[in-house]
Amino acid sequence: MSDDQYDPRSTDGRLLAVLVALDPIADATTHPIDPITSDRARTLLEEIMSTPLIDDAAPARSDVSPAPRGRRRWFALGGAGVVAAAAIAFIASNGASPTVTATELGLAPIDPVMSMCMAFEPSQLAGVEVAFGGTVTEITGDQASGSTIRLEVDRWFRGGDSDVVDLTVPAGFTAALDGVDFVVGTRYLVTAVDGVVTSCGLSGPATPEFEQIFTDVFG
Amino acid sequence: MAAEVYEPLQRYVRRRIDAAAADDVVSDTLLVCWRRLDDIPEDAGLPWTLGVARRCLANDRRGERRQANVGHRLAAQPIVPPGAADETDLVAELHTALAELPDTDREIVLLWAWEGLPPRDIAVAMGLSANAVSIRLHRVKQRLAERLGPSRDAGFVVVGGHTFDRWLRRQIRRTGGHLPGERIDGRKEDR
Repeated sequence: MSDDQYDPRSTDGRLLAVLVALDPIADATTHPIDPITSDRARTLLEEIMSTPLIDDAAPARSDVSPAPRGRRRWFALGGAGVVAAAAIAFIASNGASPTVTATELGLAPIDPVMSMCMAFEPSQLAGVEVAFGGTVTEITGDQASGSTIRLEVDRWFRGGDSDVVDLTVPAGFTAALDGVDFVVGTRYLVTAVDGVVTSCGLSGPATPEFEQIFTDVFG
Repeated sequence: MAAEVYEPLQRYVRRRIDAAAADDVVSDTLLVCWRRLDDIPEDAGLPWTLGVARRCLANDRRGERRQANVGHRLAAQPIVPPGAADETDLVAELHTALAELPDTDREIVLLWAWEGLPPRDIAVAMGLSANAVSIRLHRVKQRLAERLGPSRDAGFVVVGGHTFDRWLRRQIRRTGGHLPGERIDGRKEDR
């Protein structure tokens, strides 16, 4: 901003300055603003992201299969759910014997504030390295110390053949996918790239429509 | 994008209702944004969100009452620390003038001064055309400037013992870096 733009002698400059004096929250010390990085913001945004979506418009799309929740374009809220979804490490092991085909893949931390989802397109699935369908059988650990989500795999689309997959969630993050907590007994379709579960609608609860897309893409 | 709007949204709401009620409105607004992601314009996320907040305020009966009484809210707040008589006169005068404005005009000029939005973004927030906003903003500024009268002190208004320029910069620092007239995302306003 150039100084002359707000020349205090200009009409706009004078007016602005007096209006700023009337700003009820001008004093940042007595009216602190909750930063996006706060626990409060995280909790609020997680709650919002886990609210079931209601398609209240777009009748023109009624002929299209409804997308599973969480697949819609989302913007980075910085919520822990987003972080956890993208930061879940992917470890596949063959049954209870991790030495058989145990695969431990790397973790790619992301900047929760800068991350962003593109609108979901089935073609995006073509680029994933791992894709399977499985039911959550157990969630162990907690947010403070880190947790593990165990899935019993019933269908491999790509990239593996083990019966069990463990998704490891680092300490500090919730066991959630696109802001929605994993639930024991629920079946999910999960994809991963570079050992990290892909979110933004590329993984999610297994609906018939979502599974059909997987079948179409992976053959 | 929520990262971009979260803090300015809070400021917008808290300037218009008290802190306790503001939390609900911020939450409601973000929920609407989450549900209507596909409708949010790529290049005007913040003003679009503030437009949602404006409607949430209006829909909330308590908010509506408080919003309608924004003039009273202005009247109730301590204005400026004791200083030169000039400053108190000026601020009090503008204070009255603001409270007397029609709601839409007051909102337009406050979106400009407090939220730092350029006319095209004010238009998004208000659901008006950019042209209509430019014309109204110009008129409102003129009207308010008339109430301020001609500048004093040989061109510099003395406020709080400082020249206007220094005082303005101090005010800006007090707001935590929100520079009036500058967009939150750092883009310069085209005026």
